[in-house]
Amino acid sequence: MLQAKCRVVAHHLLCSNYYKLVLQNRSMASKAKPGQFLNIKVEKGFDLLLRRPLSIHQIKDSHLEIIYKVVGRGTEKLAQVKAQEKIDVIGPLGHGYALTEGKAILVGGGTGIASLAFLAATLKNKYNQAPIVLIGARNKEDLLCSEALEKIGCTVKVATDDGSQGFHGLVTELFREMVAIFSTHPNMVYACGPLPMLRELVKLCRHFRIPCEVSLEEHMGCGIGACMGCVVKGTKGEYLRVCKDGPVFNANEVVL
Amino acid sequence: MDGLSVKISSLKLKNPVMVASGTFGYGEEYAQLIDLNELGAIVTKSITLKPRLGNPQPRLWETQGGLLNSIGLQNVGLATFVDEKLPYLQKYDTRVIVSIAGESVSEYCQLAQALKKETFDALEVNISCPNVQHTKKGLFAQDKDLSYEIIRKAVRLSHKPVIAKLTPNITDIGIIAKACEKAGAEAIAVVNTFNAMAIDLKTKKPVFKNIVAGLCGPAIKPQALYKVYEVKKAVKIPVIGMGGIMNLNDALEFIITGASAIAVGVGNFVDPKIPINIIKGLQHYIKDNKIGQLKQLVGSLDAK
Repeated sequence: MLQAKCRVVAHHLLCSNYYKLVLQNRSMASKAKPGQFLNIKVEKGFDLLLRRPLSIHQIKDSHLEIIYKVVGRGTEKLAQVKAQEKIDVIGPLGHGYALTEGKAILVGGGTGIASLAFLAATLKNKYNQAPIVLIGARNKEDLLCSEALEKIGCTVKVATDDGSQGFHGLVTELFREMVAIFSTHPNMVYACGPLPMLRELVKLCRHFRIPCEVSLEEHMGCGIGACMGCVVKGTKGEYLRVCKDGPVFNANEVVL
Repeated sequence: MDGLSVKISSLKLKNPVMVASGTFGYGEEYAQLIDLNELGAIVTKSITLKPRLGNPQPRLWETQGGLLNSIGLQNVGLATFVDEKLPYLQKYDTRVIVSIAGESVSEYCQLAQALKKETFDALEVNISCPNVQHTKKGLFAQDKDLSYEIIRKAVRLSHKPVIAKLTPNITDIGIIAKACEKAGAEAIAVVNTFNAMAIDLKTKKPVFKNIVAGLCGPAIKPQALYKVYEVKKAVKIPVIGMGGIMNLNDALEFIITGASAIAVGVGNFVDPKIPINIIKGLQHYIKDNKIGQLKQLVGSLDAK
């Protein structure tokens, strides 16, 4: 973990209210692992007190890329940051995805697909096997990362809420169909997305007896494991820190 | 550096900048981002007799210039603290102040007694956490007799300098500060978080299960400053000031008002470098203003 003022290399709107932010920092980029996040100070003053934790989408040489959605005051403020400005970043933080060889299915909902794209590229590089990726989006306009994932060799399947592209329905239904009907039995499932999606997916993975890792989102205080603010209930009854024990957990470790 | 050294009764600090309990864990995480040796003192997360689970989620709520928290003293408990956390902190050239919190007078006594043989520099007795049950009537630090009793026993049992950490949620904080002084406290830490709440408009429910949570951050700084002023007027022992300190000017305001030392709390989340920046800022300040010793500035408030 490092703290640095990182130069904004590029920052632009991707689609609807999704943005891509590219930061420059060689040491952070070299340390970053899939599933880890950066904790970003979005304004210089203290009106908006806390940093915003955002997953790393991709590493390109010394560049760290992030894809985020404007959901509140923090991300609204971040969206105003311009290229060439410097922003204060702490990272890379947290416990990322555990890399496993074999057939993997990645399931991403909304911006959740951003951190999974980094995982897909890493799995491809490490094991020379591109995973299957299922992407859930509200509609085809909000669809993220699908072309880039296809480019590295992933089989990409899309589910949209309105049926404007791919499977008409939830990404978890698409997952169930693939595993149940087409007998696509993976060794591992990695998921990142809204809580209802993760809950349903974990239930399905238990049913099909597939190990599953989930990346969780939570409001954070310190972001480094000191304040106990961003907890999730563990299966042993204890509270685990999303920022340090996670954000990626084995589905068996946490009560969602 | 010597110009910054201060004395909190018998406790000598190389500089007056501390990190507040609950915002710094047991130092391990922050050691990767700043040099802990530079700090005047580290106050640990409050330790309880047994490991404590803490409160259900949500535990945090951001407000304008502030943060509401309801952590509920989640901590590793005394045994793990002594075995694993304290040895780590002892490696650093900084004062280690161990914060303790009990559910009863007897628990404070057991904690103070058990810590007697351990190596650290002072004991902060947290009688003011707003997020756990103290007595049926309220917090220990809202009752002068209970405050006196707990501090008196901690002083007798611990053989360490005792700092009493008080709540601002009281009409006259001076009465409690005086009781702690009489009980033998060597300093008063002013203040813990302010009682506050937040509402979820969609559900019309309070955000926090306990309804009440503790507000900290720049939003409370003027109120915390006034509490320091009130305590300073009431007692002769040193005051440690805290509440929304984010930069040099904030620190100076507390020092001038009467704080012999200051602590950075939620500032550590915002920017872990804030304590170090304040130390550097104080060095420049005394040099630029030709102040030989920073302690000359303590309580120099001109309120006439």
